[in-house]
Amino acid sequence: MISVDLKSKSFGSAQVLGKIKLSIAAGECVALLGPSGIGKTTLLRIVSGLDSDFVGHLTKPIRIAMVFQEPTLLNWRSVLQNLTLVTGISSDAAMLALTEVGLEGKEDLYPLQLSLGQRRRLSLARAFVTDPDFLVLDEPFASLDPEKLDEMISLTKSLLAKRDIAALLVTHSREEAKALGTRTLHLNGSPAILS
Amino acid sequence: MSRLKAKDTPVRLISLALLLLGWAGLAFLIDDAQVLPGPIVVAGLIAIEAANGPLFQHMGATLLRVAAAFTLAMSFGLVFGLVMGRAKKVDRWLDPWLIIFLNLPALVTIVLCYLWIGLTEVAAVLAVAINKIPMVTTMIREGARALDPELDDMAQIYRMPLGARVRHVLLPQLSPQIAASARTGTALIWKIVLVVEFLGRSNGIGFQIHLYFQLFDVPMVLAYSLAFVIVMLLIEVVILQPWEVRANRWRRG
Repeated sequence: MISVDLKSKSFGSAQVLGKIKLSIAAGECVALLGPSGIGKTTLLRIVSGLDSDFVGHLTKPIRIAMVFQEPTLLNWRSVLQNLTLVTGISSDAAMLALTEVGLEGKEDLYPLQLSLGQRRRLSLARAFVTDPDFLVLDEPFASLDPEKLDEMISLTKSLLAKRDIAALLVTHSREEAKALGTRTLHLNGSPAILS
Repeated sequence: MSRLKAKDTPVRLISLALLLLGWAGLAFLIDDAQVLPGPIVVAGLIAIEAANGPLFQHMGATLLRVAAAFTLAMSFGLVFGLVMGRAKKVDRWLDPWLIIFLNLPALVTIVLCYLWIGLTEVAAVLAVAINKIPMVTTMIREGARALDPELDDMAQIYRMPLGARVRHVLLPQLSPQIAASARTGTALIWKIVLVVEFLGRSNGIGFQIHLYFQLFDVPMVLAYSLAFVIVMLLIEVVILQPWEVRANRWRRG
């Protein structure tokens, strides 16, 4: 269970987020929609524990995983090492995770030798392999072509379905929100609040 | 990259041969081996000093000093550069110091180290390292400023241990700056080591150059200098360049 009771979040004298109450239960995927620059990523950073400079209270589990806007991989380490070195799992577990996202046979390549779609799959594998209690997805399908987008949404959906994870998806796309989210919230206003 | 290097090799060899030819031609025109001996004479002297003389003993002493000063300069420069690149407040405080040390002439550092510490090995190595640390710091600081903040977030989210973060996240991002510092470092350090030896040591290539300078023996000065240049070139070609190629394998997407 993830719960945030935010009073305010400011950058200097500019208040970006207002009063926000958000709870996400295990097995639930909350999709957060809102225009660019409204503060979606700021809220996501607060909820994931990356930003602790806010007024309010956060309850979150220890095991968190995140899929970033960019794949955010160690481009200088092999595909397999991107799982083992970052998450500490064994090579066998990493191989299983690679198979689950369709990257079998790619374990010795470097990330830059993969296509963008494959790098995003690797990023997903890294998130799910840690068996997290809370998964944060920050516009994880940005700049994918429609065909790859459908593939990635199906893959993410199937990975989520197999696990009892609380998930927060930040996106611009209503289609992505509809496809993955069990509940959709909108961030609006200045300072931004949920509706 | 390797194809480009293979294409470059004949050009480099021809360029080097032209330099040797120019040197041989000039030596022929001057016709006085005590002023400018030809490359064959110098090569002969190197061979004699290597076989029967103390060339390797002095080269070993210089190489040890180069290695010690290099290790010190890279270690401290890496730490200072990282801290200054990551912490703006520290950078604001230390930047004026860095500028002063960057502009401090090597000769001043060497003389002061010898005067304050004495004509010892510690003073010699320290003087060389102090000259190089500001350069390494500056280069690493630039790299540290450009580190990817998303990778920091990623390492934090996945709770990577500190050692793993440094080894797998931080240092690889700094590898271009580390490689550049290492290459310019070896080139600069060995030159300063020779000055340090010239001024205050009783062995090493710089000491030998001092000795033959006092004897006005140009051929021996050239022999010792060139022997060491060859060794430093070998280090560059055999160690530094292959390491750089290996460290950059991942870039070939």
